[in-house]
Amino acid sequence: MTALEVRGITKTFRSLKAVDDVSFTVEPGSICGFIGPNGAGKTTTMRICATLELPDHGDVIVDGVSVLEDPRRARRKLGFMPDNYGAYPQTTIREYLDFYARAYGLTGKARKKTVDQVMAFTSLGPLEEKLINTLSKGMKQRLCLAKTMLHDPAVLILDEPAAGLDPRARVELRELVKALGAMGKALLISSHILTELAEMCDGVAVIESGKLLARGRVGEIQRSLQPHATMYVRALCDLATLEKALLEEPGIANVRGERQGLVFDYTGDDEALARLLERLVARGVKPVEFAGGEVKLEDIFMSLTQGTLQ
Amino acid sequence: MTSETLSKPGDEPAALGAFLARADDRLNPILVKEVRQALRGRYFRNLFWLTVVLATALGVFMIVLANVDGDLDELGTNFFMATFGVLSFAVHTFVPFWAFQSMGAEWEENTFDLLVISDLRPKQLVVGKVLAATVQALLYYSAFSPFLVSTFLMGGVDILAIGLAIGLSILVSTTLSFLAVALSTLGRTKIVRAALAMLLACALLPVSAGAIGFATMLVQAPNVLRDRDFQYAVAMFGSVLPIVALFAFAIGCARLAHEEENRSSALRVLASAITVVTLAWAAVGYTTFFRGEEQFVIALVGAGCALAMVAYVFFATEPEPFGRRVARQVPSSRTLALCSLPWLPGGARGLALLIGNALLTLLVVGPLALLEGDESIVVFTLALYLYALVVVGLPSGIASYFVRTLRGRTAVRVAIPLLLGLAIFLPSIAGMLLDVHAWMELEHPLDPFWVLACLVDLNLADAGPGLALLAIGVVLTAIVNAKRVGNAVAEVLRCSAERRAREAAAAQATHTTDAAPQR
Ligand SMILES: Nc1ncnc2c1ncn2[C@@H]1O[C@H](COP(=O)(O)OP(=O)(O)O)[C@@H](O)[C@H]1O
Ligand SMILES: [Mg+2]
Repeated sequence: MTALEVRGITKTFRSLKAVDDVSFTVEPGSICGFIGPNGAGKTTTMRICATLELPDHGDVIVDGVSVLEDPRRARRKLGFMPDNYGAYPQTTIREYLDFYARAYGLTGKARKKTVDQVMAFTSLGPLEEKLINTLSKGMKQRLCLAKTMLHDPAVLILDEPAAGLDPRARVELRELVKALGAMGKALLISSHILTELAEMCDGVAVIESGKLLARGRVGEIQRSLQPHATMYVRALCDLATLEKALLEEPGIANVRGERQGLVFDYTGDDEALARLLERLVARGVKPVEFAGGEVKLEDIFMSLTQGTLQ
Repeated sequence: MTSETLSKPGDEPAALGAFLARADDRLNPILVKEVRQALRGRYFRNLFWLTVVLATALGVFMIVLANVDGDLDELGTNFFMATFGVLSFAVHTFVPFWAFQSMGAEWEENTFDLLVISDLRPKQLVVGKVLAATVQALLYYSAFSPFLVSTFLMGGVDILAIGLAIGLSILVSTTLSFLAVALSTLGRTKIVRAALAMLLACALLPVSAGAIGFATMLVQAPNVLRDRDFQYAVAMFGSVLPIVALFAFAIGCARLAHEEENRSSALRVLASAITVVTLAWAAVGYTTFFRGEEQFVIALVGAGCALAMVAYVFFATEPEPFGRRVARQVPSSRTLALCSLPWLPGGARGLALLIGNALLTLLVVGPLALLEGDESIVVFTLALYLYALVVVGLPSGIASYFVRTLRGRTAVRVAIPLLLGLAIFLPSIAGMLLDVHAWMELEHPLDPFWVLACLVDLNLADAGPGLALLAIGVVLTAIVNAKRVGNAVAEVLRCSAERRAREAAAAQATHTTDAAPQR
C-alpha cells in the first residue's frame, strides 16, 4: 500500500494560490525530496499532510487514512517535523521526550524503553539531563526527529530539516534519514537547497508557485527533460583539435569548454559510446578523462524552474 | 500486565511502586509537564514566597494594630481579612492569569503544532492546563492554612464561615481557570492576545475584591448562614459555577479541535443544560420559598434565555452543511437522527435548538403558571422566545444566503447584537428629534424589553403595536429560514441513510469473509 498519497490538494490564502492541484505519492521505504524555491508551497503542502491545515480541495491519505475523514487516526500514523518549532523552556531532553511519549499514550516501562530507544537512535543518550534551551541547532533538530519517532509512524514529513545545520550535523542528519528509510518508513523531506537532498533521496517532487512541475526518480526526470546525456572529455591535445574530432562524430551536439576539457551532449546508447571512444583514440586524440552521465539535481531543478526563477 | 507480575503478595514496596507507576501513567501529560516546568522556573516560586511573606507581614501588622488599639475582639476577623485578602488575589487573579498565559505560550512559543499532532485530545489539553493551575491554587491554600487556623484560634470567627468561604473560593478559582483557558484559545495574534489579557485582568481583579467582600461579610455576620434566602442564593451560585466551567471547557475544546471535527454539539448540550438548570431552580423556588412570586420565575427564565442567547448567535451562524467527519457521525437510526438534529452542527439546526429550548421552557413554565393561575408568566415566556427567534433568526437567515467565509460569519455575529441595539436606540433618537416623549424614554414598540415589561403587567394595550411587529418579524424569520431548515433536515436524513448503507455494506463484507473457508 502507498504510505503517503497526496490527491489533488489546493489551498488558497486570500487570493494567493499557495498550493495548486498537487498530487504525488510516496512509497514505504522510499525517501522523497520535496524541492522548490522559498514560497513555492512546500510548507503548506506538508502542513496539510500533517492535518494542521485544511485543503480547499483534495485529500491526503496517510497509510490508508484520510486526513479529512479521520484526522486523529492519520496523526497517529504520521510524524511531522515543522520548519520552525519551539521547545519548552526549563525542560531536559529526557523530560521533553517523556512528555511527548505520554502525549502519545505510552505507559510505564514501554514509555521508558521507547524514549531510551529514540535517544539511542539519535545519539542523544549522553545528553539526557541537558536543558533544551542550551542545545545547538543540530541537537535540537535531532531532538525533534527523536520526538517524531516516538509513536513509530509509518510516514515521516520533515520540513527543511537541514536548514541552518553545519556540514557535520548535515551528514549526521543524512545518515539518520537513510536509516529511517531502511526501516521501511516513507519520508518526505523538503528543502530549497538542492545539494542538501541530492545524496539522500530516491526521488524528488519539484514544486514552484504552488504547482508540481515534476515527480519521479532523479534519473527519470533527467531523461524526460533531456533525452541526451552530458559527457565530459579531457585529452592530451589542444581543445580545438579535440572539438574538431568530436564534431565529426555522429550524435554529438552543443560542444562547450569546461575545466580543462570539453562538455558535449550525446545521443546514443552505451555501445555507441564505447565505439566513439575507440574512434577518438584511433584519431590520436589520447583521452585522459572521459566521464559523464552524472545526473545533477541542481541541473534538473534549474531547467525546470528557469522561466519563473527571476 | 508487567506491573501485575511485579507485585507478589506481601511484597508491599513493589505493590506500592506498581500502584504509583499506574497512577503516574494516568496523570495528564500536560499536568506533568507544567508542574516540572513550574518547579524549575522562577516565576511561580518567587510569586509564591512573595504572597506568603506579604500575608505574614499584613497579619503581624493587624496583630500589632489590635494591641495598640486594645481592641482584641476584632483581632480574629481583621487577621482573617488581611490573610484572606492576599490569598484571594493569589488564587482568583494570579492563578487564572497563569492558566491564560500558559495556554497562550503554546502559540507564542510555537509549540502548539507539535501538541496538536500528538495523540492528546483537546480536552486533555484544557484539563491539563486547568489542573496545573489548580495544583498551584492548592499550594496557596495549604500555605495559607496556618494563617486560617490561627484566625480560628484567635476567636471571633465562625468555622463554618471560613469553610464556606474557602470552599466557594476553590470552586470560583477553578471556574476562573477554565474561563481563562477558554479565553486564551480565542485569539492567536499578538494584538488580540493583549486585548484578551486586559479583558481577563479587568474581570479577575473585581472577582478577587468581591471574594474578599463576601468572605468579610461571612465572618462579620455569620448569622447570614442560617438565612434561607442566603442558602438558596449560595446553592444556586454553586450549581451555576460548574455549568459555567463546563461551558468554558467546551469552548476551549472546540477551539482546539480539528476544523473537521464536531465543534458544536457539546456546546449545544450545555446551552440546553443552562436552560434546564434555570428552569429547575425556577420550579423549585416557585413551589417552595418564593411561592406565587411570578417575578422570580420571570427573572430566572429571562436570565437563562439571555445566557443561552450568546450561544444561539454562534450556533445560528455556523456553516450549514456538515463537515465530512461530522456527516459520518449522524446516528444511523432515522428517529435518533431526527431527535439529535438540534444538537448537531449547522446554522439552521441552531435555530432548531432555540425552538426546542423554548418549547421545553413553555412545558415547564406552563404547568407552574396554571398552578398559581398566573398567565403573565406564560405570555412573557412565549414573547421572550419569539423575540429571541427573530433577533437571532432574521439576520442569520438572511446572511445564510450569501455569507460563506469565516470573516463574514464573524461579522454577522457582531452585527446581531448591534442590530438589536439599533432597534432599541434609533427610535429614541428619532423621538428626540420628533419630540415624542415615550420614544425618548425607550418606550416604543421596537424595544423588546419594554414590550416584555408591558406583558408582565398584562398591559396588552401598550404592548399591542410591539406584538404586531413581533408577529411580522416571526413571519419574515420563518420565510427567510424555511429553505435552510428544510435543507438541514434533509441533510440529517441523507447522512443517516448513508450511514445505514455503510453499515450494511460493512456487515455484508464481514459476512462474506466469515463464510470464506478457513485456512
Ligand atoms: N497562513 C498563511 N496566510 C497567508 N499566506 C500564507 C500562509 N502560509 C503561507 N502563505 C503563503 O503561501 C505561499 C507558500 O508558502 P509556503 O508553503 O510556506 O512556501 P515554502 O515552504 O515552499 O517556502 C507563500 O507565498 C506564503 O506567503
Ligand atoms: Mg517552508
